[in-house]
Amino acid sequence: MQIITISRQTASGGEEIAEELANRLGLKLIDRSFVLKNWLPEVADEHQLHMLEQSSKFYTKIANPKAEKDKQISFADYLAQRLKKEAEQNNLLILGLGAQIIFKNHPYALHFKVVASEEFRIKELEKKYGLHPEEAARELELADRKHRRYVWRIHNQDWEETTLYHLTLNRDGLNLEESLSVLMNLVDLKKENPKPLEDNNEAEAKEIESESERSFGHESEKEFAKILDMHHIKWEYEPSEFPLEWDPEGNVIMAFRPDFYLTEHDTYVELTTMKRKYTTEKNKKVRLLQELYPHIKIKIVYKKDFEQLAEKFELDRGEN
Amino acid sequence: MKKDNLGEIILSEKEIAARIDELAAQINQDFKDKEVILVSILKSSLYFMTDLSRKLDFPVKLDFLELNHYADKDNSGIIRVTRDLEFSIAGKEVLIIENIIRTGLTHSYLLKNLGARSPKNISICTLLHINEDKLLDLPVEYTGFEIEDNFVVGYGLDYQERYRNLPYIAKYEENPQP
Repeated sequence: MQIITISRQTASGGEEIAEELANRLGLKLIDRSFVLKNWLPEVADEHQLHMLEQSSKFYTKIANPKAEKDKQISFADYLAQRLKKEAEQNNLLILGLGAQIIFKNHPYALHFKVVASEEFRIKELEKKYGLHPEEAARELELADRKHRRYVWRIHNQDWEETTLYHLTLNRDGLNLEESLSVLMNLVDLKKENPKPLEDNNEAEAKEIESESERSFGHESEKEFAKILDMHHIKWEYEPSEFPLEWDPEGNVIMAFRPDFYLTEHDTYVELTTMKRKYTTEKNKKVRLLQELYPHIKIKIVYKKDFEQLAEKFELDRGEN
Repeated sequence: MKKDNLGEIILSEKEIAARIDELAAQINQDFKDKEVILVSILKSSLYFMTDLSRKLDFPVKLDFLELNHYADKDNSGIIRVTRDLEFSIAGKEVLIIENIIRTGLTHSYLLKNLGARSPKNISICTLLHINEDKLLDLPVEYTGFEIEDNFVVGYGLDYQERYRNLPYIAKYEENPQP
């Protein structure tokens, strides 16, 4: 199962990226013209289709007014349902349609945004439609507003919010081939390690909610988490696993999951409560990890270090 | 003063003074003609602040910040500012005067807290820096001495509020050999 969503600023070249990426990865491309032609006619008459083509507000209208009250859904709901159903059967590339929000928490979804500077986009419009620069600028402003309004109206989310996307590409510095190469690489990488994008606030709320009953593998990990909280250092518990050894067929036979990830410091931390001389196995894994993933920062906190930390905050409660 | 737990002196009064002269020379060069707010982290950097600041020849304002770890019964808690700065540091050059950087945890909080007040720039000057692999690697512009990871007291550093006023820095032995 694979879902890629692409949101784009008008005239940033997002369409060509979407088409080519879908082509190369063998994904079914779904965009607004596709749904207007193939899906929406099932629930909308000609006038309604015309309105759906023109106005984002119309998507909030009820698509099946004759149904019982509790079964009534809006055109936007209908679209979201169809997309979800389609995603169960096909690998999709969805252009626009607020799909980055519909599939926000989907573990196999990747969300990309394509942007470009105003100059870049104006030039594109000039090239494509022969528009005068002033006209092009005006056109862009309207189109951007329309995009934004659709996502806001239907999903109550700011389309510009960067954390809705795994990656934002700036076409000023990346041509089509470079953009595709970056995206395909990431698609490949994420296949090994799918993970949903979560709204930070939701994630934080969840963290607070479950903090007391969060299950740590070891008491020392719980204590360590408290010390990090004490210093307002944001952390995640065992968020990623790194494959370290593979058999000849490419199956992972050894992997390593560090205890903590300190998000603001981009650093993984592995705690060990064994005496240093018994930590050979762990040290070996950390060494391997550093060899295989040299860009990953990882620290081992040994028994002695940890005891000092724990003691420090119990005994004198301060470094100063 | 009862000094039975004091171990070997690792930095004498003279060594500290000589190093502060060197640090001051370097800082004077880097901050020439700038206006700087020196922020001393209480209480441990008090002596370092007074000795260092008297060797600086550019315009400085002195300010103080005190941090404390509040712990609940279950030992969870947070680090908090218990005495805040007097001056606004927005748009200003700030030089933090620390006595020791051990894990980088307090340091990280300080940078986050002061950084949020939009200073022009924050630099850190610490007298002591534990040279073992730290939990958090954060930039430190000026370091007096790299030392090994021992519990040390004196020249502002305490064990349960004692020994701060020693003019030198010595190891603290929890279980001294008779």
